Amino acid sequence: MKKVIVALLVAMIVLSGAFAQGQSETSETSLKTLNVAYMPNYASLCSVMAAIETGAFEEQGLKVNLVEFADGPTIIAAMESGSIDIGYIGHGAHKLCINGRASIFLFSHLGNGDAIVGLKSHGVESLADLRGKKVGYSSGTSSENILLLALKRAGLTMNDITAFEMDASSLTSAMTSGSLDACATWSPSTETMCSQIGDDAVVIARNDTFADETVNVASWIVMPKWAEENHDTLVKFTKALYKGEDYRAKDENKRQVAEWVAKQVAGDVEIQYQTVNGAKWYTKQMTVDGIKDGSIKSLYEVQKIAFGDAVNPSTPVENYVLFDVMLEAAN
Amino acid sequence: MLPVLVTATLAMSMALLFLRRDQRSLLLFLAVGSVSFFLYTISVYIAKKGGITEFTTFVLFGTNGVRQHLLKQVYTVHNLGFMMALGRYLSPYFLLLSALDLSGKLNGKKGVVTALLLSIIPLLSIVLYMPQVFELISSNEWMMEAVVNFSKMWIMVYILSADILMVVEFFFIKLQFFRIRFLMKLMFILSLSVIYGVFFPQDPAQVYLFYRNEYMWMLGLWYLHKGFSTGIYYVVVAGSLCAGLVSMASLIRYFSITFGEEVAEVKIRRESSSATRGVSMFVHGTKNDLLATRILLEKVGQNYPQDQEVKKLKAINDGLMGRLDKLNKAIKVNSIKLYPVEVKEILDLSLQRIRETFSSYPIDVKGLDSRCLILADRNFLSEAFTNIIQNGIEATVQNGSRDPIEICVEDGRVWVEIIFSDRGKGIDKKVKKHIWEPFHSSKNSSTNWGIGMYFTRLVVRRHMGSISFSRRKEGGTSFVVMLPKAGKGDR
Repeated sequence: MKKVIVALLVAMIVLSGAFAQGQSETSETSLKTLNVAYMPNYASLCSVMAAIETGAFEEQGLKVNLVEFADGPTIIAAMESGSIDIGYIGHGAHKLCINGRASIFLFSHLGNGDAIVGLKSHGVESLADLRGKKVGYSSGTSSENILLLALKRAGLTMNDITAFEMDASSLTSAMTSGSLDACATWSPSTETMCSQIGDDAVVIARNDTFADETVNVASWIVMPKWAEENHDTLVKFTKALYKGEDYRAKDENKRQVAEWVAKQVAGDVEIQYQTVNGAKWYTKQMTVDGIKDGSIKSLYEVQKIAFGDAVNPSTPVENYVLFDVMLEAAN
Repeated sequence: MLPVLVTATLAMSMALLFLRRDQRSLLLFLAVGSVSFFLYTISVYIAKKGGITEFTTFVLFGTNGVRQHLLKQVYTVHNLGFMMALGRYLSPYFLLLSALDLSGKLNGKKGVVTALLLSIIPLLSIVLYMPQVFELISSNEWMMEAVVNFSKMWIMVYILSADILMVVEFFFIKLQFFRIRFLMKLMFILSLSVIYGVFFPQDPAQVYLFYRNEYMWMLGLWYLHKGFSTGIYYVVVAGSLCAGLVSMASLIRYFSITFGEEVAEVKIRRESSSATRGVSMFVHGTKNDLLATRILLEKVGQNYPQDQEVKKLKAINDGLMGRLDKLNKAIKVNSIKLYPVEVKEILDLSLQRIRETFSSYPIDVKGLDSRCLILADRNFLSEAFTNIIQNGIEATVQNGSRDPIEICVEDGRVWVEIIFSDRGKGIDKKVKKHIWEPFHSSKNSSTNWGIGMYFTRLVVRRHMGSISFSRRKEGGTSFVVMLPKAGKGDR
């Protein structure tokens, strides 16, 4: 027994030493490593994957270590704990930015990837059919936002449905198995569900259904303190992302980027490629123009108001959106 | 890695429970089971939330496929959170109960009362962490903080109490043999505590309150804690991995020690348990008749003092009484009182008994100079040794030899070995299988009821020892009795 214990202690020391060695080797390289959080979908990964694969980060002296997360709020929690430097968030998590938890340093895109999916066989083919049905959603994310908008449009509230709070993966499995009647989800789960369920699945609402009420904005974020202490790094990172965005925007590169994303998420290329045209993807020039003409600020304003009581509507957009970083990186 | 270790440990604790079916193995199984269940819920949560490196994925899930499998498990956040709460609050309770049981503090009615009292706080926490109840509590921030901190506090108290109890108990044990046996149990409890301790700060309510405004910041994601993102994270993960290995190694060791014995024990127990009740009634009934017969024979003997037939009848009656006493003793080896005794004293008693039947048969005894002490019941153990020696003499004589019976005492660090060797023809395969079973004898004799070796093994086991036999190269059989050493006698 003593021998076993000694052997295990030695193994632990060796393991710890090996990891410590691994850590120091990374720090010895000339590139600065950044831990970047993403969600396993095309919208989150397209520009960063393009920047990695085209060597844009290396050009800026950066090395990106990608870490996968399920949703935006979890990414912000990880950034708060210090394990993540930079992250991507969808629409729902912007509430936390408005409430001062994180700062936006780059506008990503105007999306149309969120959707309400119903099962025809369960009697859900329109928003009004949601009454009394079992509906799954992910609280705190854009899934919850689109569900609330859909219910409002149908003259319903959360009390009129049987709501099930779940994570995105559970939503897909629960829909496929028929445990739910409908769900609020986002890309590429929408495409995956439709592909797996077939004709029985029907998309009854998307972001553009509610274009008059809100916008579905996605952004790149950092902790305010981190942005202050690492301003130059942040600008370099943004420069590289711009390069990735510009690469992705070209028609001839779209398939290639979808392949890189599919490889990263170990998913199907076709599912990723289906979402290529699911949003208004911004480039460097579009961002600069959008800042100058105030349209990007307006989008954030609309988004803030649409969040209602969940945020303080009097918070100035400039408090949590770093337009200066976007402009500096564009030069 | 961790799931493999946890599954293996769980499987072994389950096998142990199946074999032993006693309070100790039940508590060990419940402790391992609750920790495993807690780790499962944590793993599902981490798989779904993400934010871990490839290395952590390897440690926590083994392969990415396992992670993907857990990721697709359909749970509502309320169900997952409550499952996590169940694992979180049952683990320290069962760990503490196991520690109390292993250190002999959970016996009788007092033990039941202790177990019930200790269950109050975990049960209260389980009720408080039911999603509907906790959401009510969380409407008051002060109350929520109090509940969260209280649960953390009592968990730490329970776990530390279990660990301290085991460590103190370990240092109180003076005998090397018992120390080594207890070390395995100590390591088992400590390693389970470490694995549990790595992840217990993750608050279950956070699973279903994560997205509710300020709750996520207060409860936080433990596994994404700053400390976990540096080299310390690797050390902690390596630590939990090693703890898992120690835990499994301890159980394997405990399992391998008991497994071989248990399989035989269970079989013998089954054979004997059904017979025991019947034998007990038979012995009492028959003994009463024999006593009545003895009184009658005494009277007849007084009337016919010179009658040889009456004398023969009396001898047969006495022989039957003696064998019935022995049988009765064999099935009632329940309360043995152990005292430090020199091995020499036990062997002297055995030889004295043997001399009553085989007064001149040669017996060589070696190694009695060491004066080592064992914990023993003089009468029971000497009788057990007498049985072995008597069988050896009978086997040697049956083989047409009069070579001496050799008795050798080997004084080890932890164990004392007493080896009894004869020059018989050896034990054939058929007999080997059933040698320890009651009422099984290879001797063609009406005076032999086949309880000698059953009794011997039972007595040795009650002395926390073991008995085995093997064929001697030079012919004959050696029986090896191993007993835990209790020190040295005073000269």
